[in-house]
Formats: sequence, C-alpha cells, structure tokens
Amino acid sequence: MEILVTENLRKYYQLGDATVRALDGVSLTVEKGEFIAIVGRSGSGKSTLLHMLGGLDVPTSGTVIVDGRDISGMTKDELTIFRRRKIGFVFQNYNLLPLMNVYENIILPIQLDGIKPDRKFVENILEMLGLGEKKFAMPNQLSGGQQQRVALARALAAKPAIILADEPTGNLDSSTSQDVLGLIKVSGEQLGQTVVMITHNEEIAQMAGRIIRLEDGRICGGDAV
Amino acid sequence: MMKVNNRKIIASVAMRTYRANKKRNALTVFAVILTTFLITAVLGIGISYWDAVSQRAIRMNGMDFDMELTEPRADQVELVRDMESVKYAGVAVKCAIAETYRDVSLDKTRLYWVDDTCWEKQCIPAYEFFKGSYPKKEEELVLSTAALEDMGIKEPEIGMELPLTYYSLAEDTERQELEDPVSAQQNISKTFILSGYYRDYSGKQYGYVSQAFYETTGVKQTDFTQGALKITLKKSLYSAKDIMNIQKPLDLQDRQMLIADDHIMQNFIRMAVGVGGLLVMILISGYLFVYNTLYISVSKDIRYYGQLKTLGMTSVQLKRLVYLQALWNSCIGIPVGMALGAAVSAGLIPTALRLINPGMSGMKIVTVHPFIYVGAALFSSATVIAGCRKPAVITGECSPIEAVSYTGLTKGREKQKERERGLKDMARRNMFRDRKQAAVILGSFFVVLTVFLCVNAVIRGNDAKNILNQIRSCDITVNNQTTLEEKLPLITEERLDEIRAIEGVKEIRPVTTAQMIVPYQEELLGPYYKRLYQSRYSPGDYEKDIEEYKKDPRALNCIFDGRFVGISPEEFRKINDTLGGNLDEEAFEKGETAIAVPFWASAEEAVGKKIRFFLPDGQEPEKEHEITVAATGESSMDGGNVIDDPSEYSGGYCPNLLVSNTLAKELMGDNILTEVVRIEYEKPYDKETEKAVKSVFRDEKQISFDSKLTRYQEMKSSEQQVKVLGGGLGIILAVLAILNYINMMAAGVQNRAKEFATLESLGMTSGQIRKVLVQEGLGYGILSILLSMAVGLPLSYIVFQSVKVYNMGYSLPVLYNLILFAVIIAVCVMVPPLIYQMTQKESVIERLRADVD
Repeated sequence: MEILVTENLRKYYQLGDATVRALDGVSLTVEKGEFIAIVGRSGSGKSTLLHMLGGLDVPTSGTVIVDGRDISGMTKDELTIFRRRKIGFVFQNYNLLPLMNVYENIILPIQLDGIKPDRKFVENILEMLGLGEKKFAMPNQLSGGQQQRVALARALAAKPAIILADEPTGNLDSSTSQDVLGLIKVSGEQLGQTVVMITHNEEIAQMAGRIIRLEDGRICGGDAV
Repeated sequence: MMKVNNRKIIASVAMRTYRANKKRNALTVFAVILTTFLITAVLGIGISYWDAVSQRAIRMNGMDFDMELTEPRADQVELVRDMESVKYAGVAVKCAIAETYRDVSLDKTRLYWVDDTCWEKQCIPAYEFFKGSYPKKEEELVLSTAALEDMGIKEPEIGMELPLTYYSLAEDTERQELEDPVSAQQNISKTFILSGYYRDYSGKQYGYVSQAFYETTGVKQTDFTQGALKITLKKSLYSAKDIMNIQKPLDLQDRQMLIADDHIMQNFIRMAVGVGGLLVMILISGYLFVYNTLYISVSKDIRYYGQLKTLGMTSVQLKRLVYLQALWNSCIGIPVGMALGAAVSAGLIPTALRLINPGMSGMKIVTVHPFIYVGAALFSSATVIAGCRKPAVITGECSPIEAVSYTGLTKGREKQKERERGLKDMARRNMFRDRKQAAVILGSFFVVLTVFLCVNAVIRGNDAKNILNQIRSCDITVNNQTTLEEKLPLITEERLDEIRAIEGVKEIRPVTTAQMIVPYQEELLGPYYKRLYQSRYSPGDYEKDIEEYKKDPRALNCIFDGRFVGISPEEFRKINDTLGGNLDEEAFEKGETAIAVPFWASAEEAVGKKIRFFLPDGQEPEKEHEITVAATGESSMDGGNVIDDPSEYSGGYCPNLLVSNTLAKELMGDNILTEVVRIEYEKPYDKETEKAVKSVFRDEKQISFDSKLTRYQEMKSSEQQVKVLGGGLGIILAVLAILNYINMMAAGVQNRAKEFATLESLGMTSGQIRKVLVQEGLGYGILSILLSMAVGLPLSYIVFQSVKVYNMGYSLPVLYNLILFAVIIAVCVMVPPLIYQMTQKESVIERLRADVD
C-alpha cells in the first residue's frame, strides 16, 4: 500500500538573477512500513524533498500525496494538524523548545492534539533511548547526542504513521548512531511505521530497506518506485 | 605595535549586518523615534503647561510680586530699590472705595493708585489683557472687568463716563468717623472717564486712579493698611535669611510689616522633588523604550557577535561594529522623533488651541526650548549606545564558543521538581523565560503608565474647576448690598423658596445677620481684646478705649459691636467639619450654643462660657440674651482652624456670633434680614441653573452675585490653554504607552520567529499559537496595570502632593485611567497575534532556516 507519493515535484528558488532548482521533477512512491534512506551530496535537494514530504515547505509545482491525500491543496492549519497526526519529524538541529524540559518537549505534539499522553509508552521510549534520568532536564543541560535522542523520542511518542528524519545521527558518535538507527528500525517495524531518513553516511544508509540517490534535485540512482 | 587599518571591513560588516536585520532595526528606529518624541514633546508641552499654570496663578493673584512692605516711607522705597537682590519695587496705595454706579450698589470697588514700576512690571504681567492707558487726568479711571461687570457694564468702551460715588480712605477721615460719624465718610459723587480696563483672574473689583486723583483723597502711602511697596526679587526663590537681609536695613516702624512667604524655598524644594521625580520617570521610560527593544534580541546578537569573534574579530572591533549600527539607527530615529515632537508641540497643539479659541491666534502657546531638543538627541543616542553595547560587552566577557551557543537561559542544575504541564504553562513561561528581560519589559510598560498616572493627577489638580471648587464653598453667592444701611429685605423667604424649587439647585445656605451689642465681659473677652490691641491691627489706645467700652457698649461709634449671624444646618455642618466635628448639632439648632469668630487674635477663653448681648433690631431690643460659646474659629493670624465667616459684612471688633437660623428667627422676628445666600448646584458650573437663580433677583439693583461660573468663564482662554496642553500631554503619554506596547510585542514576536516555526513544524496550529500569544499579552497587560496601580498610584499621590497648589485634595481621574487600561488590555490581546499573522508569512522551513542563517 502506497503511503507517500510525489509526482513531478519541483522546488525552484530565485537567488539574485539565477534560479536554483532544489528539486527538479522528483517522482517517488513509498510503501507503508518501508524504511528508506535518501542520500546525496550537500545541496542535492535531500532536505528540501523531506520538507516537501512533511508539508513544511510548499512545492513550486507537482503533488505530494500522503496516505491517499494530496497535501498541496491543504491550508496552512490543515497541514499543521495533518502533520502532527501523521508525521514525526526529527530535525538535524533538533529544534527542541528551550523553555520545556525533556518530557514536556516529547509530549508537546500529543498535547497539541488535545490527547492525554500515554505515559507508559513515553517512558518506555525514554528508557530505550537512555534518557530515563534526563526526563526533567532542560534542553540546554543536555549534550548534542542527548538532544538528538529527545528529538527522536518526540517524533516516536505520538505514534505517527510516517517518520521523517533529517540526518538523525549527524551529531552522534558511531555507537550511539547505531543505537538510534536500531531504535528507529525496531519502532518502525513494531508500529508499522514508514521511515524516510536523510543521511550522507553510506554505512548508515545501508541499514535502510531502500536507498534513493539525489543529485541536483533529481533522483539519479537507487530505486524510486 | 602597528596600527591595522580595518575600519573599512568593519564598516562593511556593520552595513551587511544592518541590512540583514532590517525588521529588527526598524523596531529599534521606531523605539528611538518614540524616545526622542517622548522627551521633546512631553518636556516641551510639559514646560509650556507649567508656564500656563504659573501664569494663571499670577493672574489669580492679580499682581506679580514676591514680597510686600506695608506702609512704606519714601526713604524705605529708595533703599529697597537700591538693593542688589531687588528687581523691581512698585508702590501701590488703596485710596478710595467706590460705593455706587448710577443707581447700582457696588460690592465695594477698591480704587488704587500705583506708580509706573508697579503698573508696568507688576500689574500688567498679571493681566490676561489690558486695553487703554493708565489714568493721567484726575477723572480718569482703569477698572477690572469684574468691577465693570458689577456695574452691569458688559461691553466697556474707553472714554465712557462713569458716574460713581466714593469715599476716601484717608486716616484723618477714619479717625473723624469714630468721633463724628455723621460728617465723616461722606460719599462724594464724581463722574469718572474710563481710560482703560483689564482682565485678571482674581475676581476682585479693583480700579486704578491717576496720581492727581490720589492726591485729592488725602491718603498717604504710609497710612495704615492702605499703602504697600510690592517687591519683585531677581531670584524669586528666597530663604528666611534673605527676608531678614531685606528687612534689617529698613528700620521698620510701628505696625509696619514685611510680608513674605518664608516657606517659599521649602515649597519650591517640595515641588522640585515632585517635578524632578516625574522628569526622572520620563527619562527612564524613554531609556526603557529603546533598551527594551534591543534587549529582547540580545541573545541573538551575542550568538552573532560570538560567530564574528570565532573568526577573529576583537572586542574593540566588535564595539566599533556595534557603535556604527547604533549611529545609523540614531541618525534615522532621532531627527524623525525631533521633527514629530516639534510638529506636535509647536504645530498640532497650538493649531488645535487656536481652532478652539481664535482669540489666541497671536499668542505664543508652546515655547520651543532648543535645549530640550539637544538634550533629547543626546539622551536618545546615549540610550541606543547603552542598549547596543550590552551584547558586545557580554560577548567580550565570554569565550567565542560560549557566545555562539548563548541562549540567555541560565544554566542551572537539573530541577528536582517534575514538571509536566507543557502546553498549559507555555504563556507564563514565555513571559518569564528570562527574568531580567521580563523585568525590563514590565518595567518599561509600568514606568510609562505610572508617568501617565502622575501627569494625569497633576493635570487634574491644576484644573481650574477643581481649584475654584477648592477656594470657593459654593456655586453662587447672592448678596444683599443694603445689609448695613437701608436693611431692605431683598432676599425673602419667598425668593428662597423659589430658588429651592429650581431644578438643578442642590442646596441653599441662607445667612441672616443683625447688629449685636455686647457689653464688656472681662472673663469672656478680656484677654482677646488685650491681644487685639497688641497686634498690628490694634484699633488704638487700649486703656482709653476699653474704659469707654466698659462704660458704654456702644462707645466709639459701636466699634465693639459684633454681628449676630444665623446659619443653616448645612452651613453649620461645614463649619463643624473644619473645627473637627465635635460640636453638638442638636444643641446648636436648639439655640443653646453658638460659635464665636474673632478677628486677628484668638478668643479661646470664651469657649464654654456664656456671652451676653443685645439685638437692637430684634423683637425685644432692650432684652439681654445669653448663649454658650461652644467653639471659636481661630484667628487667621494664629493659624489653626481658620473658619470662613459666613457673613460678608463685618461689624465692630467683638467676635461675630454664629447661631442657628432657628434661634435668629426667634430673636429677630419680622426684622430678620437675610444678608447672603450661598447656593450649590447639582451639577457645578451649570449655566441653566445659574440663569434661573439670577432671574429670581432680576431688576434688583442692590443684589450682587459672586459666581464660580463667572469666575471660571473669565479664566476661559487661560483654561483652554491649560486644558489643551495638559490634555495633549496625557494623550501623548497614553499613545506612547500604547505604541511602546506594540513595539515590544512586535520585537518579542520577531525574536521568537524560529520558536514559532518549530512549534508549527511539531503541529501547533496558528490558532493555538495565537492563543498562547493572547495569554502572554494579557499577562503583560494585567501585570503592568497591577504594578502601576500598586506603585504608580502611590507615586502619583506623592507627586501630586508635592506639586499641588491651593491645598487641594488628591483625586483620581478614574475614567481616563480606566479608558487607558482598557485600551492597553485590548492592545495587549490583539497586537501580538496580529503581528504574528503579519510577520510569519513564509513557510515553516523558510522561517526555521532564516534564524539559522
């Protein structure tokens, strides 16, 4: 069953007189439960693609269909609600809220939906990620790796159908990287989640079920379908 | 060490940084404009307001001088004029009293002669206007508009004839009066020619005569209570020592006095503290306007400067970078703020005033003081530099890496308390995320609100209506001019009923009076007379006069008689309040007790004793009555509970006796005469009610009115100026307070753009974000209002107490304050979500990136 489909997705930026083609006609289909790695050089359009899939950015043309719904026609708030229910984001630079402690950061998307957080589930995630003792720590009291794990915990806690992760191991040492990836994989398998992950690390990309290569905004390798 | 020429690159980096931070700089420039405008407009209008209020005070006084030497000798006049500290000294002599104009009885129009110095330097400056010239010929006369109105002349013309009767105030005539009252004090008829007229706000019926006329009266400048040397000092602030320095060489004789206010320095210091405090608060508001805007984004700046530091920029170079940006912000903001300040204070406000009162077209309304503009420019620049320096200083103090990761949040130990409120507590936590920042923001809101409260209290205190309410006990006083001579019953019971029936009349307080002959009573009034004869107002030789008095209470043309004054229960309550409220109203109404009102000396021994008296015009003229004196009003010379004698005409030297109207009616019977009635309206200054009251006495030429409304209308042009300036000041402060809120909120939203983008990326809808922003705004609004109520109101009370005049009570302009508070709450609630909506237009990812970049 297709959960993510893009059709001829383009994103052009105007930079002075030049037009930057961040995405230039990307068509992609992701099946439910798949674990996909998107690889490519810096500036190849990986992050832009991920943002388009999550409805964080608006394409210049083309469509993004998530779970059967074309998100390009949604209003800003519809997109936001859709995102918090369907998608879990792991940002490269964590984007933790500095005023909230670890636990509050994690349960925020759930609270935003007016749902009472599943405490046991959240605590399990915290334990799995080795954050059990940091539950009430503030983000500025954590190391980069710990913050990355909190960001991941936040993405997993709402049990979203899709996890979009932008370089989730970019700031982690190799051992922690393996742990985090293992966790993403296990969680994906257990909850039937679809994972789309950006990485420039070939070794990590190998852990995915499918690898898609991007170059100059186009898919130039891997298996797009 | 070789000097490295890096000015160019610093300027280039500064320019790029400046351009990149357009929105931030726009807010800073706006804050600079607010600060410069605040100082130029508020101080400019404030000073003009103060000038207008001071000018009004001089006009209410009727003459501009600092001290007064009574009965001056020619040598003393010369001596004073030669003194180093004296600016002007002018002689004024009260020489006659005009009693009637045609068939109209006048309310004793006092006629003065003043020398050139007094006229030009001390009288003219106290007038709203003067038309004509000072009298030169014997028959020429200058009158105040109040005196002209008393004569029924509403549209005076220079050169018009004024047939008056008057009597001279020469001492010889007065002495003769005691010995032979029939031939003395004869009224002289004379047709004067009006050579000029003026308006001041004293409400006094004064006239000025020529030297030629003055010489015919026989009054001398050394005559008791008639002549005075009005002294204007070079420095209007003087101490008790300065008074002594002037008094010492003058060799004061007999009953001469140098009348000066020895509290003037203390009063000035008190006022200076109040005004100074207000000025400091205005400057603090101005400082916080700018500092706040810059402080909100301090963390961002530190991170940016940290980056530059990691690239090798030194602290000195960083400072230069900062100063350059501050300079550019100042170069845009300060001239705009100054231009706006000038446009409002010298353009908008005077135009508004001239539109209201075209008569003010030629007058200078707001004085533009260049020093205010220079001061505002310097202050604003200093504030911008101080605000900008902060991030550069912090960056200089920490390592480049610490600077790059600076968040402004204190790195404390992990909190032991588990907190799981998350979203619910977001607004509160946002407000206090950085306690210092919260304090600075709240401080800025609260200080300007407090300034508004203080200025409002001062403006309210200086409102002419409030001043008149304070110095006048009723809306209109209706006076029977025949009380002493013909004794015509002009204020009858029927007329009083007619007044009572007028819609809009709240209370009437009729006062009946009659002559009272009081036999000498040693135990009761002996000490009082001794004190009186020892005072400056001694009637003459104590031994001789009292001997005569003991023999005959009517001796010396009844100089020891008094007035038997009947008052209404309402009047009694007012007097009782002044005396401390201890008197028994029932006993007073029953006619068991009375209140004695002495002149110039205390009569305290009379309290509790019975006074015996006769009423020659009463039902039984020969019957001796007696009544217990329950209290005495203190003499004004001794301080204490000075009570206003409700009767207008004075009798002899015996203290007047205030009794209930019931007793007065009982003892006077049909001969009772209402001398005066005081009327209060439901709505003070109500024109319709006043018209109706006056019409009760239409065509009655021997009735005079003294109305608060007339006095207020005379002050109209000055009052309009005071009101427009004061109102302008209030509005500007309110607008600045609101603009400051908007600017702060805009800066706050702007600074948290990334946080909002993060929240949106996590699934927070714009509606949810707006809700949090509304809660935050509401929090700031409510907190700053509560703070300004808790601290601002007491402060406004202190400022009011220090700048108040006429012993006025503090009152709160509740409506204005509530309106401002409501507007602030509305702004706080509406502006943050509005700014969020207007500024956060890019996609989530663009906004997330923008901050990273």
